[in-house]
Amino acid sequence: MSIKTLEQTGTNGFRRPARTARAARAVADVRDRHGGRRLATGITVAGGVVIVWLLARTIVIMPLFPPGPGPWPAWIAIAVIIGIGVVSRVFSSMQPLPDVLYALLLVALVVPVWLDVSATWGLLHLGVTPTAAAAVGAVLMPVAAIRGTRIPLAVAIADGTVLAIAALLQAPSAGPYTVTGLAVAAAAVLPLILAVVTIRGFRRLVVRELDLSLVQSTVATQPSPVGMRASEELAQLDFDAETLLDDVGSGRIAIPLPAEAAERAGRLAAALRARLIEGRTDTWLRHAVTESAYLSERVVVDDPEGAAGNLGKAQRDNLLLALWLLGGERRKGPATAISVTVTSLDADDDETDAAAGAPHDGAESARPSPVVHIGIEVDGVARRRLDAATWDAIGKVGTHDVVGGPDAFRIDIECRTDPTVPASASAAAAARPRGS
Amino acid sequence: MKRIQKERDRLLRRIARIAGLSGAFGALACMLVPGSAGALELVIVVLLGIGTAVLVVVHTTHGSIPAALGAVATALATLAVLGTAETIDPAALAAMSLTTAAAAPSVAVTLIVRPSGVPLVGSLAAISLMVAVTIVATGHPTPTVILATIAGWSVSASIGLALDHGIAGAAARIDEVGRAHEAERIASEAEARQRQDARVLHDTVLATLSLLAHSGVGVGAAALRQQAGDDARLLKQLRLGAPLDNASNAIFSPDSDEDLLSTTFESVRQRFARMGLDVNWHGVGQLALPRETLDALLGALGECLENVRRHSGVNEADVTVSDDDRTVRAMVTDAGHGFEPETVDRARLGYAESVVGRLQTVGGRARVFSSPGSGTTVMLEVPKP
Repeated sequence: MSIKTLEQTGTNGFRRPARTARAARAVADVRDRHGGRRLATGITVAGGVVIVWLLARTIVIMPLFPPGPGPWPAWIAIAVIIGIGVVSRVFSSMQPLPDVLYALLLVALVVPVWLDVSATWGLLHLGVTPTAAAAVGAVLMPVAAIRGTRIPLAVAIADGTVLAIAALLQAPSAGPYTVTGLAVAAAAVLPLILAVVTIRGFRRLVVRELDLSLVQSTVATQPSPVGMRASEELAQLDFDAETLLDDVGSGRIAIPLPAEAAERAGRLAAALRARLIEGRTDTWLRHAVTESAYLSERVVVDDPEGAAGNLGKAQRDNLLLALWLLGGERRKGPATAISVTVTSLDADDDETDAAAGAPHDGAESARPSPVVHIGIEVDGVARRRLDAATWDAIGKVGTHDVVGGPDAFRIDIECRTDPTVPASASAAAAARPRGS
Repeated sequence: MKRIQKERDRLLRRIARIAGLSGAFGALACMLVPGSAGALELVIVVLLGIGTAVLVVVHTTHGSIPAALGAVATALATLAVLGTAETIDPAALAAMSLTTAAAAPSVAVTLIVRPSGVPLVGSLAAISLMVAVTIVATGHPTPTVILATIAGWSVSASIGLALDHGIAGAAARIDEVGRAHEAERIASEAEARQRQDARVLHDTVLATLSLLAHSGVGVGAAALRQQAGDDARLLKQLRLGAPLDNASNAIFSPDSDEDLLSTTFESVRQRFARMGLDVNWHGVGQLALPRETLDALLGALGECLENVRRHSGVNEADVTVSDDDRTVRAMVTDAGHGFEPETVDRARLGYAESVVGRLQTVGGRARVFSSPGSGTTVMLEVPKP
């Protein structure tokens, strides 16, 4: 990576630090394996129950069919499709089904629907409804759990529509049995809808929880941490500088320097200087927000003095959680980011003292605790509807006050901080025992 | 309760609500078909259906168990009212199926994950099944209602259990990933600290880079080459985390700040000597300053000397350090060209950012005294703790 890319990525919105991105790739892992597989198993069981139910119903209404194969060709078609799906799934082991086969199987579902609808056509007045065609919805349940939910949902809705239309077309002869036909159409779609809501809810939950879990690690950092991304950038800048200096030192680049190399040196010096001087007031809170895919879109932090660094670990935890929950509330109107302003009412040199890593002795506790003031501006969220957990979390940060209307309000939190707790649980503090 | 479980319950309630309301409203829709039931039955069933819907909403909003039991009770009452009719209309049968397959068992989704949820759901399902069996036993010909009851309760319970197990598995894995990531963060933090701690090294690297940015004009090619080579070697050591010899150890992380000051000064002096500027140091050699402050002061000092080297036209500068109770002062003096402070764009000298900016972050300030022909003095001040 050159300086150029560093400059670009510094400004253009959200990018996870490389280490975090690696961890975030675990999302897919969690979704598809840990937990995801159990969910898929459960959904498959539910789908199986629905299929067995419809099969039992077939047996119940069998006597009403005129002589002939009845609904069985459709059921055999379903069985063949399920068989091919299961066998290829087993043989392709961990891999998802090839797309072509997947598409083929989905298209093949037309066969049982067609066979079943034609076998039951004109018999609705006897109470004979399609069954195998309704089972198509249940067949799609595990498919939705393993692959995407959108296509199975569309297929199931199409299937349900066909069944509903078939029932309505027979209405003149079927009379009240039309309702039975419509109920069967509903039975084809409803289980899949429930499965899709479950799967989507699960996936959303996993993504959000993992994101929170990743940024929660910022809570345990020092009052003025470097941040993972800044740290990576610093390492990269050092490396770029090393390369350039080595080229000069070994004579690969001539002296006086060509314009291009001189410009590169200038850019590197500027970037390196900025990295070393700036960012001293960055806190865990800023890192938590910028490193979270979820919070970075919803929360803006203004903390000119780095006062958030004075908060204790429990306070940090709860502040992060409160912002998390506030960010998750449903918005009215255009989404405005939640704005968080952190100021210290007692702006002495706590930060530098604490950063020096010497706050664990008893003498420190004689110092007055700094009071941190946090203002959270929320716009477009119904205040009444805020989750109780949000207030609970805010209450654990400090004493709070709410000003403003029902949809736009400001939460003012006064936090007494414990001066003896710089919350530096990290080994980094131990690694630099020098006093000031 | 852990938050992930709250999220889980919220999701479960949502699923239960969709199932319960589809069942209840579907059944009501069936009853609207003319001739589905007698007038009295119709009124009772519609009221019961509305009751089921309301109770499902109450249950899925607050998770209240009595509401869940009430929803099941009203659904079973609907079943009983419709099932005891002389002849059951197909529309009424569809309403019964929807009630017993979706409306009543919807609460199983949320109840099954509670402590002792399995017996609770099991007994509710058993009661529902008994009602269905009774209806069939008292003369209704087809076992549709029984099948619907079994299917509805099994599907609801398995969805609830699947989600519960799935989320438990995911939560365990998420915890693992979170812990691993926290370790990564601490490592990254330590690494960054180490890099930032290598201030002296970075000061010389920055100085060398600035020289290179000016194409190395004004410095001997051999000296510059050696300087660049040295810096590259030290950066490589820093990158590899190789064990450091004593001399370079001081460059990375001196043991004490007293050492730091002399090391820093010596390294600054050597650096400028190599580039043709002799720096004479006067005054206190030990300073009790917080790291950040010392950092800022020495950084600003280096920038001032660089300006002397580049702009003053002389090859000698004096640095005088003094302190009183509250302030530490460093004066950088040269006998060079001098300039009119008002007329020179300070930003051009990098003065605003690298000198004033650095000092201001620690509560210090800088003042420039100069006039053309009579040299320049820059006074740097930082507060004592």
